[in-house]
Amino acid sequence: MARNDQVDVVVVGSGAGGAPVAMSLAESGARVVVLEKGKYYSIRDFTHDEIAICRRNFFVPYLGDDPHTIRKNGAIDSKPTREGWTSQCVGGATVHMSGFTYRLKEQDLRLKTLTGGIAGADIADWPITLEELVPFYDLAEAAIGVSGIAGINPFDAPRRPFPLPPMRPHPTALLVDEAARSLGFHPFPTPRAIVSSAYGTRPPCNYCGLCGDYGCENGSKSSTLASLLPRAEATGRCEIRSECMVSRVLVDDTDTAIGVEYIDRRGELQAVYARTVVIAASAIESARLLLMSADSQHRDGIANSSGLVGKNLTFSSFGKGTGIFDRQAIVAKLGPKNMSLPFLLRSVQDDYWIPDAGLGMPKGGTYNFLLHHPNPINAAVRLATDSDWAVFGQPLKDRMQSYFHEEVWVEFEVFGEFLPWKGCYVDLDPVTKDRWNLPVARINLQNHPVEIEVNKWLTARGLDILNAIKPTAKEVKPWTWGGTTFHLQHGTCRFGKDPAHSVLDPSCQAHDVKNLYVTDGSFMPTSGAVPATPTILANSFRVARHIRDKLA
Amino acid sequence: MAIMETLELHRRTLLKGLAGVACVGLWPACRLKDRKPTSPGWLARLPPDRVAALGAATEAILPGARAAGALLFIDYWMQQEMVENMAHMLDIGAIMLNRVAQVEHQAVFAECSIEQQAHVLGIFQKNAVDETLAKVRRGPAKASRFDARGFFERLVTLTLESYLGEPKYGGNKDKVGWHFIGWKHCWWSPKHIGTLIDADPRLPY
Repeated sequence: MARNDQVDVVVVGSGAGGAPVAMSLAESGARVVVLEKGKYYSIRDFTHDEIAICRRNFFVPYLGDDPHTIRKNGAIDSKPTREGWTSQCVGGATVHMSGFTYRLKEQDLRLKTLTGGIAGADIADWPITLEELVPFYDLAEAAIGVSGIAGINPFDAPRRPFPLPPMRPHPTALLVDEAARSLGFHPFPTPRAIVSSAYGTRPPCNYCGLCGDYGCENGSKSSTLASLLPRAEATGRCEIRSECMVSRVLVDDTDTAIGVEYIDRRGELQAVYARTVVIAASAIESARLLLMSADSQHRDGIANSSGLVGKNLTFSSFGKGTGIFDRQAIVAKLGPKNMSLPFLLRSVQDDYWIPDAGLGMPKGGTYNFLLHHPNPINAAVRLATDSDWAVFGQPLKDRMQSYFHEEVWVEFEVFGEFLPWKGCYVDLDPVTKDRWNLPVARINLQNHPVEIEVNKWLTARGLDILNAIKPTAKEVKPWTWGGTTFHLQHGTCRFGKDPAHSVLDPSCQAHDVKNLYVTDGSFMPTSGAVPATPTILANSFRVARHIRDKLA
Repeated sequence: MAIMETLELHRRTLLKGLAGVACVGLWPACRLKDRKPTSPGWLARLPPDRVAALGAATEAILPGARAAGALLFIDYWMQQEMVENMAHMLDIGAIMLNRVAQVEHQAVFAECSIEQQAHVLGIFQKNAVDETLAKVRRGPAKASRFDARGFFERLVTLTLESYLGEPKYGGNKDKVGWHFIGWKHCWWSPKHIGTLIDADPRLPY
């Protein structure tokens, strides 16, 4: 396709929000252009070079090049930060995700009704039901390939079987199961967006363990790069243009989206005109794009008559604890078999809804048990930071010897509700520009006190499970609670039926701008207490069906 | 020791510089495995006493790190874009290491004993450099702009990266770091791991 061209659909972003729309519409006959800011990596680019991939700018840009800025807890001045970026490449955050694939629950979509509201928080019910989403969860899981086993978690809604059997866990999962059950919990195998056996042309996982923060060199992780985008391109009707930074959504005098402007890899300004414009650049970047598209008729940005673009930014409330176990004691109990496996694969959702806990809200969260990430540099740096950097020299080397040869670290992460409220939003930084001379997104971060309280409670419960594991841990300690998982982001263009209180309608089309859709996590009025990637995928398939019917 | 390290840096820089000409301007767009240092070594431009201080500090942070190529690793990364501020921090940090060592032990850092070096680094870790230097400064103590704690954290991180990272960046010589932590982990070559997996009847799922 030539530049300045006319297509049916232009999609900004190629991750969980963009790829399902691109694939679905291309397969239904539409001509689609996908504009992706990042590079188009192939699996040959995905090495196990921890420095290049995880600690430099392979996925996340350098501060001096392309920053976000952040103001924490009401600070006046903002500081450049790398927080809030997801991977900048074709496939987006799905390329470097860990792939924990939980579905939302009914409570997630009805939090306001079920609670009657939470003081200070601006929660809203979703304008669709879980029943409406379920078929698209099924569709998304089948399309990308998800491994798991249905019917074990009593807190899950009834569902059809997973497309693939569960991944193989490390034997220590036995100990977590025993400990959790002894306390009355119901552990279940963590569903993963990784193919546990051959799936189409993709080979099964080779259990290298380097999922989170890495691209999968095996093609087994179910990124959109490995699963959906090849199908989209195979239609011959979907073109993916990488290294293209979209700078403006074009809107005509009738408030209809007609295309986008973008800066290509040579730095030249280009445009694509389309009957439908879909924005899926991440909750932070999509809001930024709508705000950057301001003009004389839309001084506060487009699709923003409600004033809510960028508001109600939510992440995932984060807590983490670590149990350090003696490797020999574990081997003595379980034997040496399969001790090289990298995944623990156990989750607990007994505390997802906790009205009797006496906390500021009845919404709890998910415990995800896992082994410490196998990255050696990350581990060694953590050994230093855990001592406030006071351990160095021979004591540090001794500590490394112990960690790598004598210990097993069992950890849990808490995914908790991150409450939308006035303290957390994204806007345009009035000073800092990126390498295209565009104003960067400024994250204004303040955690709602109730969410911190709940997360602290959940983290303590997770520590109880670690403490119940036999053989007893050498040490059990919290790592953090009440924190923020920045790469899980939502809410900046919430959907709803009332244009005065939402940016998007229930089909994720902008109330104010015809033919403009937003399909990343922006649409979510509440965060849920699980990573949102499968929900974003499912919703994107749902919106794609709406657009398909409309185009027809 | 410092002179030998400096000469080695010059030699390797010259050899790699010839091969690296083709990559000029492509960073960071070029494929990672194609990257090579492209300009005269950063450390080669520093006075030998500062190079010696940094080398000794890496060794004091992690015994064996200097022999594994910590300085070559640091030199490589300080030549890349986006790290100018970091390079400046290391340069000033090397000066401050020597100053604090002189105040505390009447010797430059590289000539201090292991225990003395640990003591000096502890002052950086506690962010107490200004107070230490104030002991010999005339007039009232004043805060410097030097971020001693930040320098220390950065140097620890670079040292650990050099010891456990890909050898192609100059550190982890002969993969000594990977030998140290054991080869049973699999982050560099996962292909054989699939063969290790058998069903475990104790785990029904």
